[in-house]
Amino acid sequence: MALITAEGLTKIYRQNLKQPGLRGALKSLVKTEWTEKRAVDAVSFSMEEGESLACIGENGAGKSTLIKMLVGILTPTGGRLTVYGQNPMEHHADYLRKIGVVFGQKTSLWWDIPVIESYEAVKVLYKLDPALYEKNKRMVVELLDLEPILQSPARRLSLGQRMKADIGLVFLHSPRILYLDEPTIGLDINVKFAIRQFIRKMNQENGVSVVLTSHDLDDIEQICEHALVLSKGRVFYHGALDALKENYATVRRLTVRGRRLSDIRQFAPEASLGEEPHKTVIQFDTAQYSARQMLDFAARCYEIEDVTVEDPGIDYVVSKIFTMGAAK
Amino acid sequence: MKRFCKLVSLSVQGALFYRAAFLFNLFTPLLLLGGQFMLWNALYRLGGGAPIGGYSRERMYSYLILAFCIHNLLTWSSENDLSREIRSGAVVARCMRPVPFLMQSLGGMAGKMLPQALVNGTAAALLFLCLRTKLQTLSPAALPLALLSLVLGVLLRMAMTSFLSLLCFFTTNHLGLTWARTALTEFFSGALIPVSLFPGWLRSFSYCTPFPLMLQTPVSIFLGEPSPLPLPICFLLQAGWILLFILLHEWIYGKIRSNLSFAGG
Repeated sequence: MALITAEGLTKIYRQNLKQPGLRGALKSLVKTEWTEKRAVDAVSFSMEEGESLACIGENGAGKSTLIKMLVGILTPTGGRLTVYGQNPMEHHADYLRKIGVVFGQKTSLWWDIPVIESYEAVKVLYKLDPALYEKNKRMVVELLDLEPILQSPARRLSLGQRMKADIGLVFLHSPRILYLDEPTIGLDINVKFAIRQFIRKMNQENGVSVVLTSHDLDDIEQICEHALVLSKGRVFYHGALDALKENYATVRRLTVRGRRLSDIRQFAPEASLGEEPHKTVIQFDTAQYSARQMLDFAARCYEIEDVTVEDPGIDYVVSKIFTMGAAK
Repeated sequence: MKRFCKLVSLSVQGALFYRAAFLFNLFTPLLLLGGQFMLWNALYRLGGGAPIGGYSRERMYSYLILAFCIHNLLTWSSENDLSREIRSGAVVARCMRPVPFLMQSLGGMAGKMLPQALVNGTAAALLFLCLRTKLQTLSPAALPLALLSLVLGVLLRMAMTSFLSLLCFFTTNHLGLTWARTALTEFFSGALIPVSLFPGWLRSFSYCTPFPLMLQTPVSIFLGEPSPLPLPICFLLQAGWILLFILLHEWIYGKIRSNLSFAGG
């Protein structure tokens, strides 16, 4: 049985329409107009235990709404959703004990008490075994370098420190599924690296299933192996991240360092060139020329000192998908 | 019980974080007590010291001390905390804990109440000790029943406040909610004047509400006053209203959960 199964999952928000200006504001006192917005539209997918799934989409695609339905704090308008074979909205307390949730813009720490007190509170509220709690606490403190901030209240922490503390908090009760909604938003590169490493370790070594939404595509590439691409509330793609790149990223980049002998476009007229002193970047479509062919052409046209062939990043793939989605 | 105690402890710790605000909030209600003393002192002086509505000066002063002690256990800002969390979205943290929402509300209120109870109790004890010749002394025999009624009265007030604070999910006007609740409670519970001094029709109406059971009833028992209803009925009513507010809380929270929406991503 799949860990998560969503069938035709839909969420419709009813929004109050207000006309502009003072007249519109007065009119809305007497008569309310409503509009419906389909934030998630018939989304179907499944996820196995131990997977790491990235939920990708443009702003307003429905990623956060989907995660909130998976967590069980938003009620779907339609469709069916099961996690561990049950509706997340039912038996909610039991379900909450199996999951960890990090919302990037909101904290689960108690605001005015030291971080360690928030951790001790979790031990009591989740009814954790003391030995398990101590083991998990030691692990998160060591891996996330939390020792310097344990005695500080959440109010006095920087955003990065608070996010690390939040991520440490959700692992204290050994969750089996981790839901992360923009966990690295606004963080510096060092903190992002530490968080990504930690989550990846939890997924790969401890088998914790991860569902992640992020606009930081490095988060996605470094943590996740599967992707669910949403566009305007609908599923655009669901499958392996590598396959996503293969299907939608047919452009590769060949970087050649060396003296130019002739123009490579005599062999590959469809390729595009970016030339710098002593370095040429050649973009080519793998549908037209293979990497082997391009290397052969480069060998004929340059005195090669160094050469690299790169896949496009996930940012190129996603950008292409968004462009295709906007065009529809 | 352990989880509830932890929630209470967290609330106390949070309240103690801002020392100046904490101390200020703790002692400023004593000003209100002082004002009430002066008001009733003036009324009795105008009346030549004669009893007002059956309350002698000594009995009224005792009433004021006990009413102050009980009424000021809960701050007016219970809705304020929840409303702030709802508007910022931080309320999602409460929804994510495997702890009933009601338990979290009650734990938070109990935590804020404990230091106030200590100060109020100490102030009341000192006043009874220092002014015992000018006050009606409490009946020791009535103490156990009075304490039971007091506990039920406080629980009733907490249950009602928890239920009403959920209305913050439906309106941004949490101040209006707070003022309405505070006004109704202060007037109909007997915190301002004893319910027995109300006109007949208003007194009957008051006893149809839960408010007198929060304060008037336990104070009357403390002072050895006759109750409008037999004591077992009073206790049953207190317990019944507590149960009703808990059921209403769970029902409306279920509705809120089904229709919750979070603005933005």
